[in-house]
Amino acid sequence: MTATRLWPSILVGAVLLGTWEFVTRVLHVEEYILPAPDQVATTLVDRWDSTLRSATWVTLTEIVLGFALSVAAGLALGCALHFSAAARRALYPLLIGSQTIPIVVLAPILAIIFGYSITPKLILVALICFFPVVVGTLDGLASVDPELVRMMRTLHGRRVAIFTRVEFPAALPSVFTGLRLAAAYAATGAVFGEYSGASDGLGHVMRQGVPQLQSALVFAAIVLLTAMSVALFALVHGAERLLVPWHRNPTREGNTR
Amino acid sequence: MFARRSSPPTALSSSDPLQPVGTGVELRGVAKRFGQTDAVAGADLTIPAHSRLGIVGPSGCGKSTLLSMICGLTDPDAGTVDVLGAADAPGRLARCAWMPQRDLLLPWRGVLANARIPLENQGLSRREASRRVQPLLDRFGLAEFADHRPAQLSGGLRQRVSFLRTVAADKPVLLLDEPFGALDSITRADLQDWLRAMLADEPRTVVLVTHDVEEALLLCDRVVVMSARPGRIVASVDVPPYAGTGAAARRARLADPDFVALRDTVLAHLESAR
Repeated sequence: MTATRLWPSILVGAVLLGTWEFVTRVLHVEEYILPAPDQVATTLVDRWDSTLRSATWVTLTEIVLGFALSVAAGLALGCALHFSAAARRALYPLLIGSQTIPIVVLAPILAIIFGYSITPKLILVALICFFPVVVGTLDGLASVDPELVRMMRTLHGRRVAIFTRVEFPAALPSVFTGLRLAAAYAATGAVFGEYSGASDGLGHVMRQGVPQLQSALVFAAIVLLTAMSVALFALVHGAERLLVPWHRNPTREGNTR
Repeated sequence: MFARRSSPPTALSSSDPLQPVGTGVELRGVAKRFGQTDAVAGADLTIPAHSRLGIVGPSGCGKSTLLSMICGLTDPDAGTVDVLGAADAPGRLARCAWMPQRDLLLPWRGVLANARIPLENQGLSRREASRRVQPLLDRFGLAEFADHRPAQLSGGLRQRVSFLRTVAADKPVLLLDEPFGALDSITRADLQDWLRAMLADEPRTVVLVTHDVEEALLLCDRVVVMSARPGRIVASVDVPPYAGTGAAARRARLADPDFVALRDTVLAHLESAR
């Protein structure tokens, strides 16, 4: 992602911020109703040491660990379902069913079971994130050109060789679609977990801040949360460019291996 | 355009327990149905070891199905297929290499990495596999493209890589399914000359499926005509060999009155087979 390609979104963001700042000043909106961007920025700096730094660290840990957990579980389950038609029939409907459970309801139950520890947050993040990973993996593996598999069978290819040399690499673009979705959802899971019971974290800060009318602090937490999500998304995007360069733009580079 | 090979054909190991023992490929009463349609009905064929058979026929006559059955990707519903003494599907799969019309190169691998796949599949390390495939790459005139991705190559080059990969599998029987069907006529003529030279150097049992009668007559020593669905072998024509290699020899061959007569015979069979 080059600077030139980011320019339009930077411009739109700046215009939105400017309008926001202008409107809150001109209309004399109270800070607790809608804080101006500069008030949010000030709070971000002032409250960093006392509140936000440790909260950011806690939430970041939950997001990263939960995401890693969901990627590992999603890839493993996706591959397992691909190999076994019986497992696919048995587990796929349950998998879809698991996605209809409202996270809002599940979060407090997990908090009751596991307390204020990191466990219920990891479970929530993983639960939200792993579904797109499983579906991406499974779809990618299922849509591999069957002619490629036949070709591999005539070239001494056994089941495992066909999987590692053809099916999995061919499924990677679809896997990454799932990973990008998961990266976008991860923060939501962490915040839900913290809302239902936590002693620290950005979700906890927001839950404390809203009833105390500390709106600027809530917005500062949102800014940090967004930054983390964007960073995770960018990380996945970078990994995709590194691992699947042939998919996006196969003729772009010169002599690559 | 294509450098002829002068070194002996031992780029790959030749201690092969699957070497022909006289008979090549034998089909007896082979039939295959897909749902309500008969794809192939009662095909009988004998292809001696190291001979080259061309199969021509109207499109959709079951030529590709026949190849799938020979190489063990599919089993016939009736009849038997015997490839160098193996009648079971895994045995046939071990003896046949198959090259489809589409090159089916892996886009994430370079030319060398694509060509060495059969060796990697047999358990060789990447390095060892590359070392063994390298001489073939030189012979096929592909050495300078070793690191190119398939997307950077022309259709003719891709097809050559695909053929190289098929050869690297080191199987005694080569099944070529319209190998040059997607290429323009000039590239196709080049590749036909090139393939003919390759096969003269390194004899294999070859079954070539094509819709191009000239191609079949140039490359094979026997050409059979299949009828429209359900596919049956309706005619068989022996093709006398011709001397020389390269474009000039091919053009002389095409102008040869005997060849023209042969082509007319096959075309007549084809027309009555529709």
